[in-house]
Amino acid sequence: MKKIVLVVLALAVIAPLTARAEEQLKNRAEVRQEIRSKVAENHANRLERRFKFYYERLSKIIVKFQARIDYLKGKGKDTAAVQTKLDAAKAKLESAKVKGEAAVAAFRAVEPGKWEEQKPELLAAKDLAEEARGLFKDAFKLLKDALKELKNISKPALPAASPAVEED
Amino acid sequence: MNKKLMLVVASAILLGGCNLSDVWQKEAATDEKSSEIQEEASPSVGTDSSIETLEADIEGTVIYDEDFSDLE
Repeated sequence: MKKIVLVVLALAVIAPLTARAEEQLKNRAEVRQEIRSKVAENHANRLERRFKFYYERLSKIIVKFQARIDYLKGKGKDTAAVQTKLDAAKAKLESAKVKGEAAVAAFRAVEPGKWEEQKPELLAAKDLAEEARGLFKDAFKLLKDALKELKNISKPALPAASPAVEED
Repeated sequence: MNKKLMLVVASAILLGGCNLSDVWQKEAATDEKSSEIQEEASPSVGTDSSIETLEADIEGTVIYDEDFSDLE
């Protein structure tokens, strides 16, 4: 009899505790889902800032580069080759900017929902971001190539060979 | 012995284990902050257009790796 009472009492205590534990588990799952829905937003914010940083920095360098080319052209240097390389770097940078904006928009377009449903959209946005990053790297490399060319044409011309001095 | 066991079980249910959500949210905030620090570490681009300055500006530019491991 005592044992039965004890069991009933124990059940009376444990049952609400179990219900509370279930509620806590459910809350945790909801919190986890909320955190996962912020993953896309976090990537969008970070990439937007990053890509804007690259674009502004490389644009400033290109403006200065053009000023240097214009100066050398005024000094009579042949700047055609370096200008071609700089134009290529500019064009690549613009492509990178467009791709970067598409990647950020793709992350922002991900609807908060179940993780399994979000995943394909997130992976597609990630691919766009990696393409954009690749284009920024290409623009950077083209700028480095243009710099090599600039250094070549900036070297002072060697003096013409002087005739041999005849010794008596 | 049984009483002790019941006490342990009841405590475990009441206390409900640790809450990881705060840890995850702090991690996300830390990632964003460290990303900003990386960008701020790059030397700024001035107005001088000499070749040496251009070279320094280009050498000081870094295209960072992006971490998408949380999407896997």
